[in-house]
Amino acid sequence: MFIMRSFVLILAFWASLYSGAWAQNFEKQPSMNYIKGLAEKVVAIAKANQDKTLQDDQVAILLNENLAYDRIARFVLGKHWANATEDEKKEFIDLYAKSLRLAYSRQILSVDLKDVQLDDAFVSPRGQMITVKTNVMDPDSGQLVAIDWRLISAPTGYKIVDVLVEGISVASSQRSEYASIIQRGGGKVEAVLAKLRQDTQNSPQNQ
Amino acid sequence: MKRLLLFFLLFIFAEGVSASAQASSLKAQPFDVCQDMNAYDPWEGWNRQIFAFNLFVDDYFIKPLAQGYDFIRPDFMKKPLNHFYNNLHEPLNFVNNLLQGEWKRAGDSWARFFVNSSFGLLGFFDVAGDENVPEAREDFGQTLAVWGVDHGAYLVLPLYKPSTVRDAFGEIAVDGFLLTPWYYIADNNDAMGWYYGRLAAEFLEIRADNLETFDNLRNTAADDDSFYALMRSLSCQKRQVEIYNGDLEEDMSSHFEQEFFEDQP
Repeated sequence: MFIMRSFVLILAFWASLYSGAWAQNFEKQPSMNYIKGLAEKVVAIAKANQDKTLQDDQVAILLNENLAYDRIARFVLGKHWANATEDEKKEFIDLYAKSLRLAYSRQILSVDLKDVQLDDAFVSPRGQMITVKTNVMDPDSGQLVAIDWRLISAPTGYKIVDVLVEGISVASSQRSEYASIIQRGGGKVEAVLAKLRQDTQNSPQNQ
Repeated sequence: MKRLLLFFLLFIFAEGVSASAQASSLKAQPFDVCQDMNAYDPWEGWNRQIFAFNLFVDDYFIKPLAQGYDFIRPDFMKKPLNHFYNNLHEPLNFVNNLLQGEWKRAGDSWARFFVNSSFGLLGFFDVAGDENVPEAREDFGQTLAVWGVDHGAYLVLPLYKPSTVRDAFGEIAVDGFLLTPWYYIADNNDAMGWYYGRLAAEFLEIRADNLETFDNLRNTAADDDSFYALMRSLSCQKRQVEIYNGDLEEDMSSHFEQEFFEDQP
């Protein structure tokens, strides 16, 4: 009987260790405060500067601090990450980060974040991620748009790994787009690198 | 004309569902549907050609027209016009919610149509929305999905939003001609010109409302080839959210978490 009970206790101990390895101990309120703080920083940037280039630069710094570029880059490359050389991986992360900054700096500033409404937050089933749900007013339609932020924990606090607009994941969409580019480029990661090089060089903000 | 269109769509429906079923069995999880695009889009060659055609027509005809319309349309009319067109969809929302067994949502659609058509001055004002009766948008493609019909092949049709065989069949053939009361009213009054004119006006309204959004999306993609892939993924995800009426947060989160951390060291 004693052996049986010990066996069960040991199993329970290992099970708790295993699940503990996955769980990140996320809490709702700090993660919601983090998103609120981020929105306030964007509003402050828009208020403080009239110069659009300066605004873009400051939002780019904010994105650098708050997006987990390397991890998102790895995700959006999907199964092709394993086939890429170390040089290709490094270049992809750099170009991908640059393309995100170019594509989203201005868009973030165009969203009216001063009245961002924090709705709720929930931890993902395996406890590795927390999603903060917010609503933002679309100035054109006058309707609320649901924007959700997927966060992971990092040594410095939180990092954003995905944004969902009305339930549509930006990271998943890019993963699909890049998979298509690589497939049409004969399965080579170079195909997506070439597109990103061209995209980041031809951007109006680069000229 | 109506019979010919129905026959054509039925033919595509049968072919598309069969093509997709042969390519894969994609029913396991809602978001698995949007992962394997080779299985989701067995007619990619045809679809890419039609997509390129649509972009061409949009660049040289529809977008300039929408820009002109946006320029002359007073800003204060944007919201009322949106409400007006949304109100014309309420009878379809009602019927499709009923067919899906969504009684509360069907009641909301019914109430919205009568309140907004009367107190909301033909639907130009969303009085019901102001009283917290939310819009419960449904179409026959979603009804078929709830009944368990597979989405079929991804389908890009000329001058139509990205769709699937099931959804195009549901929205064009069934909603557009069989379920909507507006078709019968127009047909019985020899006023089919008004019916098609209203569809064209609504199309122009939607395009004018999305001038900036569409440009931003297109600029986000590396080029028009990858814009095709981006739109395919967006439309697939959007459709899943619509079919499950937004009740997919846990599934989506679980799916994303699994994929995200599988790819990480």
